[in-house]
Amino acid sequence: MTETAMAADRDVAVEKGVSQTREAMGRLVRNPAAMFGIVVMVLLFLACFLGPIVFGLDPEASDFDAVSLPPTFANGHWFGTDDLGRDLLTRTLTGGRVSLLLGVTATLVALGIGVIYGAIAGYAGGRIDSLMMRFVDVFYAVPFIFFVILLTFLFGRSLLSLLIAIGAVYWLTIAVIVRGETLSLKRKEFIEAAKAGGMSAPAIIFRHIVPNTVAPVIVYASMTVSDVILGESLLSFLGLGVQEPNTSWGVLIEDGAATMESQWWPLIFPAAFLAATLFALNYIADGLRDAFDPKSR
Amino acid sequence: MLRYTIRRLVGAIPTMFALIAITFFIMRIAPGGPFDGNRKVTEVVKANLERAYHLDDPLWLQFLRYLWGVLHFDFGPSFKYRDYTVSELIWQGFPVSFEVGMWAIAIATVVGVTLGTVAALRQHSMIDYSVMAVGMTGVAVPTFVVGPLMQIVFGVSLLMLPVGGWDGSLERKIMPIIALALPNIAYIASLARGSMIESLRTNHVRTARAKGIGGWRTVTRHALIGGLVPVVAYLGPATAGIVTGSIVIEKVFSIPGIGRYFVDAALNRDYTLVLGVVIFYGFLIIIANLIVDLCYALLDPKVRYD
Repeated sequence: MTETAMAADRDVAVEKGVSQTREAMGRLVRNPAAMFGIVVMVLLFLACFLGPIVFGLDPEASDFDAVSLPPTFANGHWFGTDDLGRDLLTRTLTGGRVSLLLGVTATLVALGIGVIYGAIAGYAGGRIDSLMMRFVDVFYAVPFIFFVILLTFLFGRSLLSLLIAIGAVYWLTIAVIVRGETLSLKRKEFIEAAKAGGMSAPAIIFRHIVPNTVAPVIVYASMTVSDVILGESLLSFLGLGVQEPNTSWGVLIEDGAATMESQWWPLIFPAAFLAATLFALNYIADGLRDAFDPKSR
Repeated sequence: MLRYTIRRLVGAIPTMFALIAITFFIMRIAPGGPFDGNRKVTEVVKANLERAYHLDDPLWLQFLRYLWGVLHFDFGPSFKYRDYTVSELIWQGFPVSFEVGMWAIAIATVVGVTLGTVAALRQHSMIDYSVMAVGMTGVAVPTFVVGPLMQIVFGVSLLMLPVGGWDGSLERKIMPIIALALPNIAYIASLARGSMIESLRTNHVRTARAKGIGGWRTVTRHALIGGLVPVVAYLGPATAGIVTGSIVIEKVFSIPGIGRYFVDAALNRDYTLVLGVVIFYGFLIIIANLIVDLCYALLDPKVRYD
């Protein structure tokens, strides 16, 4: 950056009083890897949500004259068909809808629980805090996916139940992060001032604490999205997640793995979409981390 | 050190208790008992079965009985495999899972540290960039994709290795072990790269170089010990990752380990087996974390436990 540009930047900052978040977004936009990740994610979302409408094929429709066709442009099945004659492009995209939507919504649920839980634990401090954190520790004893499986016994395996089960487990790390932030925020003068001014504890938590934890929360949310998508695909691959007639990338990868000795295409395409998503989300998460904490590099 | 070990073990007791309680009550609240399967049994038979398994007792009594059993490593009978107890199934599967898991961790550590060290020594070279690319790929391509891909390439196309199954022979172990190790190789390589770059810049390594100790010896004797600390710290979480990975690997390669039993049990609502495996894994991971923390103290003199 040239001298003048930097000066201009500084002037803008002084004039508008640029917020931490906006400043970080500026850094994010200038990070090519993160921008690449964002572009890929936007394309994937567009493809999955608009693609099936554009192609106009039913992901459930079986065409028994076109069973297990290899992918070609000529026959209209770009990704080929599966052993029931269903178009794999349409299935990959509709499966992507479920995977992406579950990834984002379950993360939002996890975020809601984690931020509130962490903020309350950190703000309350003392015995309440240590009790609440002991509870979190218990869940760290076993990989998260096991608890999600246990919860699916309770709630069932519909999409909504999976969303609840995943959201009910993946909030733990966010809670730990927010608690840590809250502990340091609690000592700041503006919180003291709010307390002295007679503000109630819930009001302080929601008006002053939570908004100030936004930076680490955004970074961890982006990591959680890829964790959740990976977790959901893993569950579905094991047959414990998304159930027919719904489909997701995990389900398709499992179907593909079952028929891979004779056909490679049912495995490769959903796997490639899943890998592309995880790649892109990793770049975005890295970019966000660097953007919010430039010193970390 | 001994006092620390004992304190950690005592500290793990409430965690284990809470883990057992939470999993037990989730399983008992969950709808659908083990006898609600496809084969309908008459009410009388069902009542008799429930009495035989003590399912008609009050919940707290069932829990106490279960807890007492767990203390004796008795997780009750499996609901699905009627002739086996859960402990028998766990002991049957564990040696297999343990063998694959330990080899995977060992290979991941050796290969990961080697790759990371080479990358750190040749920073910003082609080798460095390819190691980082491998690291990124290992993070983004999950085990349940890598496993089937390896089967297609090495099993179906090249006919080099058997696609799956388990008879204790080496050639059937190679693919599952590598598939399980890959994500950890990737992660350990990038971890080791970062810490080695830092370690190579420390004063004692520079002093060793200045005193004319050969390049290789400086790296292995002086830099590596500092560089290994984060890698060792990661081996705790890695155990949890290996446990999750083994579920996938054992399904993909049809290996008769605990992970395979667990997935079948979860699909069949074999509650006692699911419970037993979760508790067993919890215990295993707590022990693994303790061992890792103790090794950590041995490697890094700045860490002291008293």
